[in-house]
Amino acid sequence: MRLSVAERGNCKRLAASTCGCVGFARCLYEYCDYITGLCAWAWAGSGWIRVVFRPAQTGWAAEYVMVRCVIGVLALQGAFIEHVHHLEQCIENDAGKCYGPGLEIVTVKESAQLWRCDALVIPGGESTSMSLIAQRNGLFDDLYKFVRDSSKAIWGTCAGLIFLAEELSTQGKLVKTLQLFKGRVRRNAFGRQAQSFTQECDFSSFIPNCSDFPTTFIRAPVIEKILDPEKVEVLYKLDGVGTGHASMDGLIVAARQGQNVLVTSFHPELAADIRFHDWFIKEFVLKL
Amino acid sequence: MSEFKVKAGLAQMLKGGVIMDVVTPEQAILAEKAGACAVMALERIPADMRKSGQVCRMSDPHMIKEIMAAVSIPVMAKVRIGHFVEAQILQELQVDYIDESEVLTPANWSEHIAKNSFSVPFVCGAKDLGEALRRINEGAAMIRTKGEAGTGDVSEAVKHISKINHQIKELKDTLKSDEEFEKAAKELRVPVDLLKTTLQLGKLPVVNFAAGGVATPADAALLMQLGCEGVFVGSGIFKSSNPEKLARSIVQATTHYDNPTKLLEVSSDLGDLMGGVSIESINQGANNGTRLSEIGW
Repeated sequence: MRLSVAERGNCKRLAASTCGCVGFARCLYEYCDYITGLCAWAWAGSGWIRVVFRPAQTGWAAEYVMVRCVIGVLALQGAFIEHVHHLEQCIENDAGKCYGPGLEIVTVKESAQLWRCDALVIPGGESTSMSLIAQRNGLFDDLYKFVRDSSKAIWGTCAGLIFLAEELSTQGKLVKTLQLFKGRVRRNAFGRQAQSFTQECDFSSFIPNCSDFPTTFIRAPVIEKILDPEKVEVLYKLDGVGTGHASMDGLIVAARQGQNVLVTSFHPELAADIRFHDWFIKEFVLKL
Repeated sequence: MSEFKVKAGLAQMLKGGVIMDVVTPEQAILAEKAGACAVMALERIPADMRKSGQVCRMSDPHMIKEIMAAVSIPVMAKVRIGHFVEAQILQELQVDYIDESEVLTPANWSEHIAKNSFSVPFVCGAKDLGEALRRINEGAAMIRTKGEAGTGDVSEAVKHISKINHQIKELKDTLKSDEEFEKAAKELRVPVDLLKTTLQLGKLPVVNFAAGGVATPADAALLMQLGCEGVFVGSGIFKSSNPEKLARSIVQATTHYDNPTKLLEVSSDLGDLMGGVSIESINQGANNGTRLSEIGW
C-alpha cells in the first residue's frame, strides 16, 4: 500500500528541507510516503527514492538514492536473513555491471513493506508457522494478491514452496497455502531430520555453467505432481541412481511457472555459493 | 562438514520461531496450531520437575513417538547430560533434535556427550561464551541460553544472553596478537580457531535461542531484542489459564519483537499467567543451590 503519491518534486524538497531539525520533522510528515528507521521513502513515478538521514553539524543531512527495484524477503519466521545476505552479496559482486543501479533488499513483515516490493522471496522455515503468523497478522490476504500480480517475481524455497503450492498431498489441513504454484507438493517427503541430506547438483541446463551446485535438503518437500503442465516447467529432478539413493530418483525439486515464479525444495541460501540467487535476480527479477 | 551443515541447517530453519514444551499429543497439536516451529516432548514440564525433587530422566520413547506422530513440525526430546545411551535411543527413534539438558538430572558430572559422533543434531544450554563454545566444539549444532527453567522468571535468561554478547564484544575489542588469542582460548577451554571464527562473526557460529523463564509475549520479545534468534517456552504456556491464546501471542511477539504496536496488541487480555517462582526466592529458600542453570560446565 502506497500511503500517498508524492511527486518527483516532493522528493527534491524532501532532501532540500532537511537542513534543520524543523525541516526534518516537516518533511517526514509532509512529503514522504514511508519511513523505516532514519530512511524516508517517496514514490517518484518510476521508482522509489530513499532518503537516508544522518545527524550533521548543522542539524540533519540527507542523501538520496533512486531505488529502481526492491526485492523483499518474507521475514515472519525461518531462515530469511540467509536470503538477505546472499542477495546483498550478489549486488555487491555485480557492482552495477549487469543489474544496473538501484537494487534494494528489504525484509517483509507487514503489508506496507510488501507493497513496496517488486519481487518476494519466501524462505525456508516451518510452513505451518509461516502461514499461521501471516493469517493472524493480516498479511495473508495481501500476500495472496501480491503473488498473483504477474509483474512481481516470486521465489519459494522449501517451506516457501509449500506455502505457494496449489495443493498439498500430506498434512494439508495444517497449512493454508497461497495456491499460486500449479503443483501438488508433499511435505516432509524424505522423512524426518535423520533423512536430511546434501547433494551436488548439475543445474547447467538452466543456469549457465552451474554444473556443481551444493544443495541442502532439510526435512524437504518435493513436487509430487505438476497440475498444469502448460504453465509449469520442471527445472530439476533428483538423480537418485547416480548418487546411490534409488528411491529418490526422478523426484521434482525445482520448477518455474511462467516468467515470474520459481520454486525449489532445497536451500540455495545455505550454500556458500550465490549463483542460484544471481540467476534469480537476472532471470526473474530483472528479466535480463 | 556437509553433515554438520544439515544439522545446523535445521536450527536455521527454526529461527524467528517458538519451540514449546509439551507433555501430551494434545498439547503438541495445540502448539502446532498456535504456530510453534517445533515442540520439545517431555514427560513433565520443568516447573513440575523442579517441585518433584526426583531424578529426572529421558522421557518414555513411546510417549515421544506419539507426539512425533501427532504433529508435522520437528520434535525435540531431552537426554541427561553425558547420557550417551539415552541419546543413542533417541537417535534410533529419529527425533529431529536432542537437547542435552541441565533440566534433567546429569548422568555424568564431568563429561558431556561427544555429539560429533551422532547423526542427529544436538542443542545444548549455555550461560556464558566459554560454555557455549565448549558445547559447539563437542558437536552441538544449536545453543540455547539456559535461563532458569520452570520459574517464569526471565532474569536469568537475560543475564546469560547479555553475558555472551558482552564477552564476544569485549574479546573482539581487546584480543589482538596470536598470543592473546591463545591465552583467551585456553581460559575458555576451546580451540583458538573456534574463538576466532566467533569473534569474526560477532556472534555464536550456530543458532542461539533463548530459554528458561519465558512466560509472556514481552519476555519473548525482550530476548529477541537482546539478540536471541528464537525462543524456547517451557512451563510458561501450559501453566497459564489460557494456553492457546498465550501460545499464539508469544509466537506473534517473537515475529514482531521490534514492533511495540503489535506487542501491545498481543500482550493484552492473556488471563492468569504462570505464577512462577522468583530467582530471589530460590536463593533464599531452604533448598538454596538447586539452580538448574548451575548444572553443566
